[in-house]
Amino acid sequence: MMHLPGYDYLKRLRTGDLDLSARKQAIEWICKASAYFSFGHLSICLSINYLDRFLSMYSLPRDKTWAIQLLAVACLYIAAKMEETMVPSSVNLQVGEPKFVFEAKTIQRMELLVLSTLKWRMLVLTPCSFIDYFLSKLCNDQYPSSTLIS
Amino acid sequence: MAIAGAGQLNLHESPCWGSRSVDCFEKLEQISEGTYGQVYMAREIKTGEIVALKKIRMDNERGFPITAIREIKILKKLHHENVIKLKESVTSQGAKDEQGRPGKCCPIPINNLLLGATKYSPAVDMWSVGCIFAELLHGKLIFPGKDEPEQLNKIFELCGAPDEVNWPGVSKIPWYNNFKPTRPMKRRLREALGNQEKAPATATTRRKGQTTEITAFTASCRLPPIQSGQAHAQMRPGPNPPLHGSQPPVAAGPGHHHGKPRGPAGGPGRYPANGTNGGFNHQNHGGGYSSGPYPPQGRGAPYGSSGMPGAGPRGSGGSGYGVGAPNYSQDGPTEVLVLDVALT
Repeated sequence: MMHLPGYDYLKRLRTGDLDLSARKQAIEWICKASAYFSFGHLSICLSINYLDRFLSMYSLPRDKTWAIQLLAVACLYIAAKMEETMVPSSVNLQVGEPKFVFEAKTIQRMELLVLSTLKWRMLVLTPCSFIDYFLSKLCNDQYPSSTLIS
Repeated sequence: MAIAGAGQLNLHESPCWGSRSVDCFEKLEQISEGTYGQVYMAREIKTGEIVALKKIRMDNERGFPITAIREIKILKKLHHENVIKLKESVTSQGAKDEQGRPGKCCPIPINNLLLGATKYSPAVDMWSVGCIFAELLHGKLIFPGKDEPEQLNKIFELCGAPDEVNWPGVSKIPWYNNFKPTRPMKRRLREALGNQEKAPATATTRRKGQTTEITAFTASCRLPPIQSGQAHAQMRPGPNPPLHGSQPPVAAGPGHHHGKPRGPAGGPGRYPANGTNGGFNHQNHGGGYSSGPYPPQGRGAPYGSSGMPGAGPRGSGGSGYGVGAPNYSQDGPTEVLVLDVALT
């Protein structure tokens, strides 16, 4: 429970209390940027986890449409720092022609806000954590070849 | 590293969670200075508790330092009497950090990097692990150089001088010619560490073997990282690099693997057999070490004083980020680590 969005999060997205299309755009950007930098799928899962948890805990000002893009950048940046070896600078992370581009200082502040709102609980079990396990079970406890995984 | 039993779980977080400033602590003296910040001995004013206060420098370009993120990540996983506990993160408001001097000589600068190589790789990490292993065995720094040339020399004295035979390609590394030793030096790591019989004989012998292999000059001779797959993106798609010689079982405690779904059918604490199962770079990708469950903590105080970064794109402002970390049950040493996140 500590690493999941609040129990009412889905309901709030459905009822329009939270902006579903804004979330969709944010996640699309995360996927686009991850693909650009060849980040692993765990980084994507982590970013989305951070994003959802943050949205369920913190009310972003709805009139500020840039806020969720800033959140997406910060989430992906933190996830990349957790998981990736090669991490671009925060400014350079903003690829794919997003509607808003932020300064490093702004991203840094958002990063800290995300970290503190999520109470520094950044180690999260994601579906990715189980892929290897089930794949090896499916393959008679032999680790499958990398082509099968990709 | 044991997983805390149900009775040991810390379900009560500090009430001031996420809202404290570094002013809650009184700095007593500077203990040391690392590459990315200073460490102070400090006293918590309210309780009188003595803690270690680590100041993390924020970098405008890079945000919260990746090294600090990973340090927190790892400290949160480790619960052991010999490992310092991360008690809390606090912030200092508006503090402008002075640049500290570069890190003092420690075993972390690596052969490759000292010689001017710029590519950071898992092999670099393995070198560091080997140095730490050796220091645990040795009881003191193994390469106590005052500066980089001296440090390199210490490395050469102990590990032998690198040449094209033991490290193919070394002569192409930028500064090799500036620093290459004038006389041949033999590898005498095993002998040097052999005099330090502090650990039980079998363990010592085994660890010595590991240290020797980990600190081998070339990546291809070094032991593979245990789970570098999920930590190193560029390793993911590739096949297992060929390794020479047999891999000794590693005395990895259960701590390395707690609570994770196990990937290939290697035994506990054993590197996956070379080339037979897809290789270490795939093992538990995304599982285990980086994302295994750690003892849950209770939900803390309501999210309070955080502020949204101010004025939008290209904007600035915002203040009062509450920054906190769980405090674990105190069953180990009294030291605690307080991260001082300086907001600039």
